[in-house]
Amino acid sequence: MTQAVFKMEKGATLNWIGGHGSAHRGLILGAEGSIEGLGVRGGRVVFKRHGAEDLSQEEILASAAGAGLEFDPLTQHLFPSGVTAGDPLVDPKLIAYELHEMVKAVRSEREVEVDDGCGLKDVAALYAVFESWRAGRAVQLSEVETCRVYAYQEEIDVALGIA
Amino acid sequence: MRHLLATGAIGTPYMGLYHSLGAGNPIFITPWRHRSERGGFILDMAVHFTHMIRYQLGDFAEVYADARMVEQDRQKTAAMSMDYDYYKKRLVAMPECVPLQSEI
Repeated sequence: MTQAVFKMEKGATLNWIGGHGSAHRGLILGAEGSIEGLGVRGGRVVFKRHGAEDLSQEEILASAAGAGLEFDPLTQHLFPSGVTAGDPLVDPKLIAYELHEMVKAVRSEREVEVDDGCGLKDVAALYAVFESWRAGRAVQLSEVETCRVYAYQEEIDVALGIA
Repeated sequence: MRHLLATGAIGTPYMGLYHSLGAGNPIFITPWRHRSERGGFILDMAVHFTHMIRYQLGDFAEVYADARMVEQDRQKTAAMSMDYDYYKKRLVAMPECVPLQSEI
C-alpha cells in the first residue's frame, strides 16, 4: 500500500492512500464548497455548497444542462442518465466509447482525449510515489518523467530487459 | 464534475483526498497484478485515479510518499467481485495462492 502527499502545480495539496481495498473515498475541497467523489466510472458525485443544500449527481447534471452543457450523442446513447453508478455494463460501454474514439482519431476526425503525453503523466505520478519511497525524499514529477530519478523503475526495466 | 470546477462552483480548490484501502489478501482479479514488473495492482488500478485527479486538479508537481508490501501472499477468492463472464472463466484457471512477489 502507498501513502503520499502530492503538491499540485496549481497550488492544491492532495492526500493519497492507495492500496487494494473495498473502501474508496475521493474529495475535493474549495474555498466555497466541496465535491465528494472524483468522477470515476461507477462512482457518484455530491456537490456540497456553503450555506446551501447538497446537490446530487442528477441535480448537478440538470443544473449543468440548464447552463448549456451537453453530452456528445454517443455518451447520451450509452449513459442516458449521465450516471454510471449501478450500471452493470459500465466497463463494456466505456471500452465501446474508447474504440469509437480511436477509430475517429485514425480517420483524423478528432484527437484522442487521452494521448501519449497524458498517459505518461498519469503513469509517472504513480512511479513518483514509488521513487519517492525508494529515495526517501520528496521528488519532483519532472525528475520522474525524465528518468533523472529512476531507481524503482530501473529494477523493473532490468527485469524486462529494456534498461 | 469538471464543469463544476471550471465554473468556479467550489471556488479555488485547495485540497484533495483520495483513499482506497481495505483489509484482506485476495488476488485482485488476476495474478499478474501482483507482479511489479507487470505494473502491479497499484499501478494498474491507481493510474485511473491519478488520471482523474489530473483531469480535475491539473498536473502534479511534487510528491513525498511511503510504500509497504503488507501481505506476504495472495489467496484465490470464492468468486470474482465483478460479474463479467470472462472474469468468471479466469477464476477457474487461477492458482489458489500467489506467493510473495515484488508487487511494489
